[in-house]
Parts: sequence; C-alpha cells; structure tokens
Amino acid sequence: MAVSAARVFAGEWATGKYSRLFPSPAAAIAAFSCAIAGLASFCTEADGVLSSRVKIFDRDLKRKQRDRAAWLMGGKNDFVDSVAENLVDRLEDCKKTFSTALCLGGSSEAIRRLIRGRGGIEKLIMMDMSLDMVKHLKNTEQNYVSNNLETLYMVGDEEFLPIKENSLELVVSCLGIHWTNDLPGAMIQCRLALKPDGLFLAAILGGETLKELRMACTIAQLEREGGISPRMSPLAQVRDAGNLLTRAGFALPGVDVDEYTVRYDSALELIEHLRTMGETNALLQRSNILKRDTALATAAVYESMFAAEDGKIPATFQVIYMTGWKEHPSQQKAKSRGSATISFEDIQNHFRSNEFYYRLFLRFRTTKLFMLRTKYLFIKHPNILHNTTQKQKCKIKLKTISIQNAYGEQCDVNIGVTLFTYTKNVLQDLSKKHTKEEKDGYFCNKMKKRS
Amino acid sequence: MVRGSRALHLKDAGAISKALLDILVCPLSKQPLRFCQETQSLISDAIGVSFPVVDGIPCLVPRDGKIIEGKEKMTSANGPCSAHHHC
Repeated sequence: MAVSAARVFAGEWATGKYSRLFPSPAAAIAAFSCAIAGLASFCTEADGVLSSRVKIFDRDLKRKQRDRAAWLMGGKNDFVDSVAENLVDRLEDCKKTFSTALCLGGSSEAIRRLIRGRGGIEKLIMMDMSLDMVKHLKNTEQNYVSNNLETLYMVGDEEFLPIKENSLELVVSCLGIHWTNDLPGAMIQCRLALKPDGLFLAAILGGETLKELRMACTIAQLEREGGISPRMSPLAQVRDAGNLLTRAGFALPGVDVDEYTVRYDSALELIEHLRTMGETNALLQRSNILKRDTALATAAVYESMFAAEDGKIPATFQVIYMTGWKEHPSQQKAKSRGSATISFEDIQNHFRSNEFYYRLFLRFRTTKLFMLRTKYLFIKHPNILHNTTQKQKCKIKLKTISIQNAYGEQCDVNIGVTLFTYTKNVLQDLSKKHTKEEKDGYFCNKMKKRS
Repeated sequence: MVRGSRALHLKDAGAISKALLDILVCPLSKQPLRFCQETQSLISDAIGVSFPVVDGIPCLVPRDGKIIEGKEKMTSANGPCSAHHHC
C-alpha cells in the first residue's frame, strides 16, 4: 500500500516540474534511490594516507558532491539565503572593519551575494574544495561588480588551510565546516590565519537537523531490511559548539541557535534540495547500497508521519552560529573574583520596572555574545517565530543603558530587537506587548529604512 | 599554437596569483610556496610537492599535489621561475 502510493507520488513528481531532468518515472525512482540520504553513485575508497587520524567523513566524496552542487546550483534557495543573511548581518553589529576576508566553502555564493558592503570588506578570498564550484563562482563574478570587492579564488581544504599566519581579518564559513573530520583542528587553523582581533564567524548544521528524515530512514530500513545502517551524518550538538570555540582558542566565544523549518512538496524535493546544497551524506562507513524498496518506503513513511494537512512535508534545519575572536590585548578580560561593586541583583531590580526590558535582560545575561565590541546588543524577539519565509530584517534600538557586564566593567549598551518586517503579526504583537515609546521607536526606524 | 596558448595561460595565472601569493602557503607544511611558470604550478620546496594552477585558480588540496621527482625539482629550481619568498 505504502509502496504503491509512493510510486504514484514519485511518478507525479517526475512528470511535474522535474520532467526535464528525469524523462520517465522509472528514472526518477532510480535517481531517488540513488540520492536518498545522499548515497552517491560514485563512491571513493578510503585512502590510507592519513590513516592515523580518526576519519568520519569521506572528504573525496564530499568534494564530488560539491562539484555536483555547483552544477545543480542556480535556483532560489531561501534557507541558505536566510542563514547567510543572518551570518553576515553580524558584521554590521561590529565596530571593527575587516579589510581582508576569507570565505570558506559551503554556501559561499550566498555570502558573496548578500555581503553588500557590510563589514568594510575590501578583499574577499573565496575558497572551496571543489574546483567546479570555484569556477562557477568565478564565472558568475560579473553579476556582483557593484560590490566593489576584490575577489580572489582558490581551491583548498578546510582541514589543510593553505593560508599564511596573521594574514586575515575575517573568516566566514557558512554551512560547510561541519563536514570536516577534525572540526577543532580546522578552527585552530582558521584562528592561526587570523590577525589578532580578527573575527571567526561560522554557521554549521546542528544535531536536530533533518530529524524527520532520520526517523523515516530508520523506520523504513527496519521494516524492509530488518536492520539499520547510518544513512545520515552525525552533527555537532549545540552544547558542543561553545566548547569547540574555547578549545580552538577563540576569545569572547558566542554561540546561538536557530531552527528553520523548510516545507517541501515531497520527500524527493527535500533530497533534491540537499543535493543542490552539497549537504548529502558523506560518511566513510556508509552503506553503499540502498534498495529502491527502502528508498520508496522512506518517502512513504516520511509522508505519513510528518506531512502537514496541505500535503507539504516539513524538514527541520538546526543552524548553530558560532562567533569567536582571535586574542588581542584590547579585548576585555574577566576581572578577579569578588572585585565587582554592583551585584546582579541590583541590575535585575533596575530592569524589573518594565517586563519587556527585564525579559531582554535575562536573555542578555545568558549570552555573552558581542558584548562591548558592538554598537548594539540585539536580541531576537521572544514572541516571534522565525522561519524561512522572512523577508527583511529591521533593527530597533530601544534604550541605551549603562550596565556592568559579565566581566565587571561598566559599559554602555544599546538594547535593541531584531524584527522581521514582513508580517502584520509583528506589528500586532508589538502593539499588544509594548509601550507607546517602543512602538514609536519601531515606526521611526521603519520609516528611516524605507526612505 | 602551443606557445600562444601558453602565453595566454601565463598572463591569466600571473594576474591572479600575484594578489593571492602573498597569503598562500603550503597546506601541509605551512611553508612558503613558489610559483613556477614553466609547469604552471605552485611548488612547496619544504616538502617537494607541486600544486597545479588551473585557469588562474590555485588548487591547494593535498590530494591534488604531486611529489616532484628529484631531477625535475633541480631544473625548476634553476629554471626561469619567479621565486616568491615570504617570511
């Protein structure tokens, strides 16, 4: 029953908008069997060159997948765009400018497109492990002449970063670095390549990513094959991300997490999306065979377990944003224990008068992100759901406060909220919760943005 | 014909390499690289490996590197290579 349903469903898919790619339903099913959870038809052997190190991912396969992603790229990718936008947006919050920046593989195309002069970047080095991807980036360069960037291109491996020490001011990695076998090692190399007070910005996929597909795969495999094999790569957990930054030696580490739900017409479309991002499975110990039955059962299980009422299929992507600075004497340091003159209780009381500020403050206490080094402290509005349909961001400065930070220093911090301007819900939400003053601030800023 | 295409390559590679060469090092030894026009490659003298430059894009993935034979290394070192040395 489930299989026949999936067959029909695969057939529809093939005769629909992808009919150019796969002329017959049979071809589509074959392609799906091949693609599901990233089992590629070309499999490379494990090499013995670096056998002493722990190898989880097949980097050569990943390279081929990125080649393929370069050929498939081109369509609109809202998920990647919003992650890249969220990442480069952080540059705007920094006082510093970054003249030389390195953009590591992953969604580097989106980073280059969305950077729009932020962070004062003059020289941008684009690096990817796939030559085809770098060529693609180079060939589409003329579309971004207005950026006034000097863009350089190179093929390189994040695990073996070929960059001289102390030569960069910024390293950006958007959805790529989680495929390295030695993530701390790769991050240490990034830190070494940075100049003192240089910034490391990275977005990686977290452990909650594609949990629906993980479940569907497991159930389908149990049902059809009587056992399971790893179809999906292990990913970093949120709690590990902070440790990673500290272990790599970054100062002022900051980690925050966002969850995106992307809705697809079918499970096949999800796989297609993963392929265009080059995010398909590259486990070294993966099973090289995926039966067509299992693949179809997975699609069917996915649909029956998770499909929404309108027939769309949701997929969760958890993105972990990491921020770290290379050490520099100008950076704030923790004062010795017991040297503070104001207690956190007093500050808490200072905020208690207004519930909204109080809530902001509680968030602010838990994140050390960007404190003192930024013009604004932006906190996502707790009542607004974030999803990938967001169009435009808008920042509101609410109040400047003088506060003793976690390091025991007195500092002025502008408290603001990052809002997404597209829906009426936001406005309604604001009108419900906040005072007139805050709303005025919101509209003033909105008008400014428009003019 | 061959000479013409090579000249084109040289012009291409030279233009891009100059800006990049200042910050590139060997991915394995982190030692300076030297651009060899003869073979259109970046050579890491420290470990005797050459990395190809394709259409002006240096390919510095360790897997792309080729171990230079003793004789070839000698000629390239004495040959018409523009040596780039960094501290």
